[in-house]
Amino acid sequence: MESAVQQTFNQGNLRANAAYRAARRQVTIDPITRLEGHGKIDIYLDERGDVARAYLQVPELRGFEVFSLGRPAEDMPQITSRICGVCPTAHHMASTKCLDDLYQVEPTSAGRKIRELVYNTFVLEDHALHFYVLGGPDFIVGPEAPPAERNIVGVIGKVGLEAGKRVISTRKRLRELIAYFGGKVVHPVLGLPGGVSKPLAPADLPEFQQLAKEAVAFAEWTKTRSTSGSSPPTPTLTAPATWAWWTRKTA
Amino acid sequence: MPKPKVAFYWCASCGGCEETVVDLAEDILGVVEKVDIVLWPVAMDFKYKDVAALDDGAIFATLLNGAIRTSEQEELAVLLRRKSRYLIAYGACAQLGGIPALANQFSREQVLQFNYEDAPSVVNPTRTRPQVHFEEAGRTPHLPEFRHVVRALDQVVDVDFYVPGCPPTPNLTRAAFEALLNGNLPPKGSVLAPDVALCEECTRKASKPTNVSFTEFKRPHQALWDSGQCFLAQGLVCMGPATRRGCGAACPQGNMPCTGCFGPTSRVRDQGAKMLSSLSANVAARDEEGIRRTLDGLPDPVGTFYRYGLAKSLLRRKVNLPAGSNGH
Repeated sequence: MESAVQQTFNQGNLRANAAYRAARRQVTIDPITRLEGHGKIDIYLDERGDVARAYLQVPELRGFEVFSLGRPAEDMPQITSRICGVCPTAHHMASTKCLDDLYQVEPTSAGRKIRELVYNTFVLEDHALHFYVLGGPDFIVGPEAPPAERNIVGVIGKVGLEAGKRVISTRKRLRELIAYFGGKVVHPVLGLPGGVSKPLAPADLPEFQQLAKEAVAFAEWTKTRSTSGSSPPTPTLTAPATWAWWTRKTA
Repeated sequence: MPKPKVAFYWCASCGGCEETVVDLAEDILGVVEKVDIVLWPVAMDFKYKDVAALDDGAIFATLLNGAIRTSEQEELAVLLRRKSRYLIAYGACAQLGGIPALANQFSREQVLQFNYEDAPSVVNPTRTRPQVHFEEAGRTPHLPEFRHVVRALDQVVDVDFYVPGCPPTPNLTRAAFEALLNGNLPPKGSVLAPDVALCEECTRKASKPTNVSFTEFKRPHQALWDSGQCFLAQGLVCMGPATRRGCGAACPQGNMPCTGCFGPTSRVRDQGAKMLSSLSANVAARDEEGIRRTLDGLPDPVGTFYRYGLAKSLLRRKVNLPAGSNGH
């Protein structure tokens, strides 16, 4: 079909659908956004325009519960992490703890500490993602704002470009820390029954400690001052992390 | 000059590919300046109707991740194909089926029965299953059809390029964007990653054995692994030789073997079969009993050799499972 004709057809089609929904007093949100996963909401209104009924529909199913059957137990931390690529570390750790229980072992002291370091690092960067990118726009930009502004770009407009850059650089360093232990940050590989796959080299510890302090300071600023117009605390770690082989640009 | 439109969409996916795009970190601000994102459910509030309202071919490039399992995912793949000049299968699920394609070992009925009836945490006394059409007092919400088979994207629509990985790396993603925006594109159908096996970039390459003979296959939790030596030399299955490089050998850096997420090089038709045949040829035992005992170290061949690639393997799914009326 010729472009102008196609365009006219598209517009007419959409107007007809919208008119049909309005006549049926139906509002559809498809898809729901700024979360991991798929969802659709159908809202039905009564004669006065009040909500009579709303349906949340989840139009996806992958079947992890069934296709994990028959897999070696030690593969499960890496398989279950694929339930979610935003929080793979959570699934990975839960699965790893199941392996501890299955083999009736306690993790080694260092193994436990490394797991806690990785997990706490994940919680911080994941919560930063939620605050600034996923849920934050609803609170910082507001639900009345136009759709095109209800996102990270709109959030940066409210908290300032400096803060936006700090979110990005803080999360990058924290995720590089996770990749140090887990091989990669999305779907890490460290979990084993009784411990983890890789140790921490003592020479890298001071940088991790400094990163942790600065990340917590940034979280505090986010909580208390981010929408006040002030600037976030300045980091001292500015050079690329010495262990950051995962995101380093190759020649 | 209007900015080129770009869309990101996810099918049977986990969101890890979206995270990788966000992991472009400061580079993403540069991308956002150069393109006009018209769909990205994880980060932006554009809806399907906004995409439907665009002209055909109006989107310069769509990066679509996730495998295809439901009728809605098929419809979105077809819609985005129509609206896009370039459709890129982004990530292992779109390229090969990915981990969700492991469901091709099971029937649709097995999945639905367990998830909605037999699972220990399910409370569903009426045994209600998801229904495509549902009516209540004149209201008709609906769900998509759950197919019998998991498919890769190019088993549903025509695909221009592939970016491999579970997930891809930020470096590969940056390179793919640059190639698209500068018009430096390889032939249609290319995989946008080097066409060489992973061993080439692995720090353990020097100890990769030229002749290896397996008396047993060990599993990752059964020993403390030397952090510098090739896993195959240590008796552990590593998919590196059958897997395309491009990730910097990330998992060996984490002291665990490669599981094959980048898929095969262009010279290999079936990644799992290639690795299976290579390892089998190197089993030391020559007697039935010895061979059987050696292979006991591989309790889950499908999960080991086809973890990401079952949908694109020669067999695609366990044989004799039922199919839908359209074959899927």
